[in-house]
Amino acid sequence: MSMRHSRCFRRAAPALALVGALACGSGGEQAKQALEPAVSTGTGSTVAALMKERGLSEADVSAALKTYMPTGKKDDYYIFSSGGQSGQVIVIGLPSMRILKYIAVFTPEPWQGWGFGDQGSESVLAGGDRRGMVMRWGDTHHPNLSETNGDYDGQFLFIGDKANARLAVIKLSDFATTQIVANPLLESDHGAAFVTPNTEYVIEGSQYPGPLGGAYAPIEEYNEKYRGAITLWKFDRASGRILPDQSFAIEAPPYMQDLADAGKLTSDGWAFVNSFNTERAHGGNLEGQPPLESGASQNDMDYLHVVNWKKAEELYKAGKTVQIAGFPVIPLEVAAAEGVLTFVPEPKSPHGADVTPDGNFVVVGGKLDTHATVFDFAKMKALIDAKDFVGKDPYGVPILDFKKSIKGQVELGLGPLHTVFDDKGYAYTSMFVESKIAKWSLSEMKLVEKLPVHYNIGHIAAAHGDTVKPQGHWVVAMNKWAIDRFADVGPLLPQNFQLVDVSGPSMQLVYDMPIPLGEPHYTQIIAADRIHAIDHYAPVGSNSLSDQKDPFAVDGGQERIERRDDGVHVYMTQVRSHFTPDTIRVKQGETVHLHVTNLEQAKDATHGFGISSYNISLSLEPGEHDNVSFKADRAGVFPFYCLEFCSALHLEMAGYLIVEPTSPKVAETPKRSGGRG
Amino acid sequence: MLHLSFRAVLILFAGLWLAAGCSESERPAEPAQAPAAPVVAPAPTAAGDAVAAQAEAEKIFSERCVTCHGASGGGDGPASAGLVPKPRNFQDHAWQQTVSDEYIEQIVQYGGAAVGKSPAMPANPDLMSKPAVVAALRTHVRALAK
Repeated sequence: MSMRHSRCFRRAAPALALVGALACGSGGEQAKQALEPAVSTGTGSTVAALMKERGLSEADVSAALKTYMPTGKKDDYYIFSSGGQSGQVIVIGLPSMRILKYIAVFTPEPWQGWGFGDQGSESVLAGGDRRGMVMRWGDTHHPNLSETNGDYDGQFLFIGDKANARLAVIKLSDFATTQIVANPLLESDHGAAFVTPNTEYVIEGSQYPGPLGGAYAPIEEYNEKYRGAITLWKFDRASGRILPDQSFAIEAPPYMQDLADAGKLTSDGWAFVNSFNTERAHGGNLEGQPPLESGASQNDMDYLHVVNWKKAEELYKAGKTVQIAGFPVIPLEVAAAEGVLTFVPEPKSPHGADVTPDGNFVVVGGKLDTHATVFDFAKMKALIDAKDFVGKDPYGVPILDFKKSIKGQVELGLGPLHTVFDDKGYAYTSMFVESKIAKWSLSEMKLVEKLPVHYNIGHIAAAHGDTVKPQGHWVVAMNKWAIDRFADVGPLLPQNFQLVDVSGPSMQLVYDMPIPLGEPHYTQIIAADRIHAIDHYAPVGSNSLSDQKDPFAVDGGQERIERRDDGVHVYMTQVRSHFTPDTIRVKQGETVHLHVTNLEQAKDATHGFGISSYNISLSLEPGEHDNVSFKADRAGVFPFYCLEFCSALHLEMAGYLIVEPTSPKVAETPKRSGGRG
Repeated sequence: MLHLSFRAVLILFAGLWLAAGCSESERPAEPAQAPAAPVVAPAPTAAGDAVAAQAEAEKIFSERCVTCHGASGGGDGPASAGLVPKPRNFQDHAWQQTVSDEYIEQIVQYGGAAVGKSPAMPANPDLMSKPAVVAALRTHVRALAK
């Protein structure tokens, strides 16, 4: 038992003992009578009375005690969850399942001042635009924490946008997005983001094949001209940035590449990418073709892509690439010939590809299969080294023998998808069709237990559960449907995260948490002591993207308004509870450059800044500086005010933007009409 | 609702101030009656507690107080230029003589408005449960006198 778990247990133990005593038959009845007067909830009711009143079982109270976090106490773990179609990331505390933050990523978000005028966030969002298309939403799928030696290091979080084939970088010193990169080859991705064990690269695998680089080709030429790609984005930890000019991709056949995972320890240097639709179906159900989903489900086997990324890196550095849309790509025939890409059959319509903590095995769940298939990396590597192939696919990629490549298969049930691991040698697989979690032994290759969840579980996550050192204790089921779990809110229902305690011999469901933001896909769970977040920016005037003092930072006493050739520069400070200056006078049509510094250094002393009718919303955390430029093209008088209730005089923290009209007509008072006169 | 509540508290404080017959002079008033939290720090149970409280107080002073009062307490912090009235100059020996320890601790916890002074001096509600830290902050303020 870890220190953390030990703390939790000590907190809960006395109460659990009480609950046990209360619920233990006749002996328990005696204990109940003895303890009732001594244990009060503080509201005049005993625990036993509350249990009776609310119809709670011992298991219910045990579950409550495992997740209850008294005020002022902090959670043991952070959950970083994708926010699905919201384009954001959700941060949740575990075991309380309290939402801690929504991190603005691909979508403008006014509370954080993300994309409402602030030049920093606008520039990050614009980094995700491409080919002249402004994209202001994303479909976040798979968050991945940065790793050192195969374990989470708590420094960065990466997340992919399936809808637009983009990746974002979030720095965990301030939980803020710092970079978005758009894949120039792809229109959609899925196997993203997955990091290599020391975060050398962030892997982004494509989903729906197409002509690479935004080109056009008729769908009748699907087999010849449509392709997938596996992109390796180089990450520079020192600058905290993805380096596109040191990144490259590996061309893949037009199967639908799916989830990915990087090898670790014994399999370091390799990556594993699922695929479905080796049939190369592409729909056309009004044109005499089968619907895509049935066309894509004909074969009994699809192909697990076994990728030697170290070899690919060598080829990239040796210049064995072609340029597509300005991006270096290792052609499919080169990848096949040089041993970068090898296939091994995997049962039907596979989904998760999850590397075991020791790096020795890859567990694959087949959506339309009843097994978890455990691929043995050493066996696959030996076959590849010996060039012992059973054939090639239509694009020349060598194929390994299925039976020679696996450790075995474990019969789990219907619809196995994803697998995570604990610290005791168990694997936990989500069973979509059955709506269950299957716990099974990796060493014995045997099903141990199943637990119903509610309903249609997609991904599953465990504490450090996809690293070299899983911590066990907690598993989270990410259920796609909630159906009957929560109060009715109309036809669009939240998702349902269910927290499961796996520390004992049997799994126990302990909490249901509605997620009403988008459809989350994957999450990762990291120990809270790995996160070292700042509580203010220093020095005062810091730019949150660079963590350096902004060139336009305003020191106290240096507030001013300057008119220059490029417009009116307003150097403003904020401190409880006023802006300096609080009156800004400009002429209609002038460009206004606001340079705003929050002078505070006190924790939680955040000030907002919003201007009425100008679509500007900033959030300035203590010590932060933001810059905004806008054209004052509408004459009138526009209040600006602090958006955070910062002090007793918060409402008085306001001022006026006064835009003097250039045309006298605008200055006229609008005619009043109506009334009863 | 929140707005009204805050205003109500301010009005209450102002009323108490006037009822006590005090003017807006430099002479400190008795603390307002509303805050009920203890203002006298209990003696630390161990030397380690006192050291920890002192360290926390120093950190809080550098992050929360310096912005207006300045690192040396001269009332000349980076945000002081825009404040009316100016932040208190802790170096002012005469002022230090006129105020009690309780008064300083009251302001630290409940802010200027609680004693009829500038509401620009914010409350620090998280310190109300940390009397040792409040006491260490008061000690720090006292030590800044010239």
